[in-house]
Amino acid sequence: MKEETRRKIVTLTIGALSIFLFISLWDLYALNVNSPYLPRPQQTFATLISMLIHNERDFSGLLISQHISASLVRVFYGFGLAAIIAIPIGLLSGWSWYIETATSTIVEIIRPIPPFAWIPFAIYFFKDPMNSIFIVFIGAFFPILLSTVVSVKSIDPFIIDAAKTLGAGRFNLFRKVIIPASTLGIMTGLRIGLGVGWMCVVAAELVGVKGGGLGLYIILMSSVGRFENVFAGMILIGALGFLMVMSMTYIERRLSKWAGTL
Amino acid sequence: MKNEGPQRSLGGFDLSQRRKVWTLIAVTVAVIVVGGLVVAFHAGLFAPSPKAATVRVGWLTGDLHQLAYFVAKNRTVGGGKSFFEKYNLNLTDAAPGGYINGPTMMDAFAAGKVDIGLLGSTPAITKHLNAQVNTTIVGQCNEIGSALITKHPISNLNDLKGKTIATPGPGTIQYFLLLRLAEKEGVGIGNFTLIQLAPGDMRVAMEAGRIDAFIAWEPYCADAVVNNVGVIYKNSSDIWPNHLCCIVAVHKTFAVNNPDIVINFLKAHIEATSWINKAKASGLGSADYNLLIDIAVNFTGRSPAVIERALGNINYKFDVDDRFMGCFIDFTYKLIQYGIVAPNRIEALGYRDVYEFANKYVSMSYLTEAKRT
Amino acid sequence: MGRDAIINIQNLTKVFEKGKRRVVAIQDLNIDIFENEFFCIVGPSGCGKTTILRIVAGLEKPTSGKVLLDEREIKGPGADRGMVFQEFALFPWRSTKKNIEFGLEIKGWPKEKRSAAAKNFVNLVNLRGFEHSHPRELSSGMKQRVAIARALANDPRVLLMDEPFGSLDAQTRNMMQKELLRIWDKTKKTVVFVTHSVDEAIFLADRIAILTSRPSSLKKIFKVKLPRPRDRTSGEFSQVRNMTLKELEVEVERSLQIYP
Repeated sequence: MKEETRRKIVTLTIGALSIFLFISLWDLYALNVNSPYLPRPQQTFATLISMLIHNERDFSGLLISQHISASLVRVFYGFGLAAIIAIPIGLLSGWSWYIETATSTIVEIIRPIPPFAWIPFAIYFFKDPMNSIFIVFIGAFFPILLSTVVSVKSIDPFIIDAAKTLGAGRFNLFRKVIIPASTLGIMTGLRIGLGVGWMCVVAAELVGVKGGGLGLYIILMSSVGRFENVFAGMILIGALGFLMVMSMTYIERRLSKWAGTL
Repeated sequence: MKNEGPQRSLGGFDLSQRRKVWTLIAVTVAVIVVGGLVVAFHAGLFAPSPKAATVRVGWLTGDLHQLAYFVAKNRTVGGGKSFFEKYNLNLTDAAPGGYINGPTMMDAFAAGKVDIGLLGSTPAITKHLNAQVNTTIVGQCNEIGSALITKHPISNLNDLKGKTIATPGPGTIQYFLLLRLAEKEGVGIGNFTLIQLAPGDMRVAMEAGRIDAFIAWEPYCADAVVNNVGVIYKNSSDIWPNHLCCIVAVHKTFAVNNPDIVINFLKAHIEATSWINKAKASGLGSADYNLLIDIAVNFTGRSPAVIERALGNINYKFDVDDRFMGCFIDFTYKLIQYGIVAPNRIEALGYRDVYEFANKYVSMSYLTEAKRT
Repeated sequence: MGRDAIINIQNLTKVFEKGKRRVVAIQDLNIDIFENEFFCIVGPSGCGKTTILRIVAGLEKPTSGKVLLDEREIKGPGADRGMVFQEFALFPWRSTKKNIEFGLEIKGWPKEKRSAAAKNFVNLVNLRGFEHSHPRELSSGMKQRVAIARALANDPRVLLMDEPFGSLDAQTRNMMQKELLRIWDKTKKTVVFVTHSVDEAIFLADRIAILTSRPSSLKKIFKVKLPRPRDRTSGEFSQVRNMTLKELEVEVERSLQIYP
């Protein structure tokens, strides 16, 4: 058996075992607590599977597929917008001390503000769908920006020197050296940003969204005490987030092959 | 860069610099630890837990429907002694500042943090049926007290076709009020875009033109009207006369173990509610009325104009009479019908049907006893 | 004299200031370097020989004094002064071929012309078959050969080399020195080569400049009159080596006293 195949099997086995262990602990604790506030794994998964298979309307009048797609669309746009704005700013900030100084004060003041606090602002200044997209944007923006700045700053200074001695001026330096050299770091930032943006989905959907969403679904179910649905929704959010990050990691890995660092 | 500047010593940093780094690390750690302790202290982590004898009361932040609680706490009303003190009650807030909404308070009940609570009837029903929170209803706070506010005046709901209306969420009484109104006026609910907003965010949304109407409870309605953000289209009393709103709930175990406390609480609650109605009736200018407005302004933070307007739309009532029970059963049926209560929950909790549930979940005996004196 | 100096280092002084620390790395250095010659600079560690090279490359600015290339003052880096670094500094996301083509892309050469030039230089440095390999797939010696090919493909006026073989093991190093001479023979570029290895300098150079310890200035400059190919084991080689080592020893000792 090839070494690589064997490693993959081991990884999968360990992963499966740890999930199994986690679910068992969950079940034990749930049995111990014996409260509707902590449903057992069986009930939760049964609810989840029933939700997905039957795709019935819940009491907000929407299908679970509508909730899922609404959330995914919001995160997609919020994340996309964050990437488009953060990457250029990050590249320039990493490269030019002036630009970094100019932007870093504002960035460092805004960054600690939790996305949740932006809700009234989003309600007032944006109309649907931009209001919820904005919350996702705020969440995803800063990890992407910071990663980009760091990846530019950590470029091996010698290759910059080499490029200069090969005749590269500012523009070529940026286009042919800075950008390719920081691609991998940017990719890492994108992966983190997508994760954070997805986590903001619950906050984002409190701005008065049209068309539902997974975050809204969880809040609704929680407010009426249907915790099986809450946990099922949480697992759904977690699973979707996991898939998204996994695909980013895959892209990241392929890119690092290209970038020559693997 | 290679070979730039002076040679470094073998250690990497020269000695004074290393000491500087360690000092910096030590200071940072110390600041974090001390800061954490200060925060924990203020958050009450080291505070002694309240004595078991103190009764923990939950109420909703800024909720005008629960005015009776604050009236019963007030010494001026009682002429030197508050109504609670008169009945020897030692009360404390379950949550400083109140709970942000009913469902949260029900969660606190479930966690054993609340003994007596004033909250909306909806979460009291749904959380009990769906999540088996072990509470029982012993009295009422108020009837009606909600309204549909529109950005621009309308003649009927047809004018809102294709527009956006905000509700506090499907499953709330307000949502059902809207459904009922739409049915009454013969406009299909599908003609509107319904979104969910916290009532606190509704005025902002209307001001910004994000929504064309909202339905919420007082004083959010009065607030919008007084500040010229919207106009009132219909009071909830016109949509569903005498519909129930906030109630007094008690943790079942607490009630069984401390019936006297519950009865005494209700006695104070009855006196406070009666006083409110008397003060309202005595009208503008009377001492009682001014005191009432004062109390309300103090605990809600709203202006007197908003309070006065809102009070006109709320009916403070303590009794759980037939009128109440009729509405209660009707509402429970709706919650089941619309799927807000999961199927078969009534049976799962051991009730034969909705009637038995209503009669068991609302414990009239305490109120009956309290009324006697 | 016959040949004209292609590089003139005139009264070069470089002072580094960081906070309160003030280090005079180079003090009043004067060196002339002639066209087509292989010029080596040796000196004790930390004396500033790399700094000199970087100033010639335009990557650093002098504190006072100036450096002229073809009688024009150097103001910044440019393709006329190619450089090879000890750390190789290859672009890891580019293949050998693409690394070599870098400078030509900047010059705006069309694809075919670039490819042809890259092919030439790949052959020149004996890396045929590795055109599409990435730097991580190459050994240190091969990487440095790519770096040399990359610098030469850009047809610079001078080739600056900063301890290029410092990262290589002894055998590869010796081999690379021979390779470098072979390549230099074919291209006849002016080379300015910085090293702290006396052996290396004597093996490679037409002329050697020995620097003093910090603040560096010129201690001695002399021609290596041994014919090429040079035999490291011969008596003449040893003579030159001994003489150079003696000069250097004084400076090394002095530098060790200054930097505790």
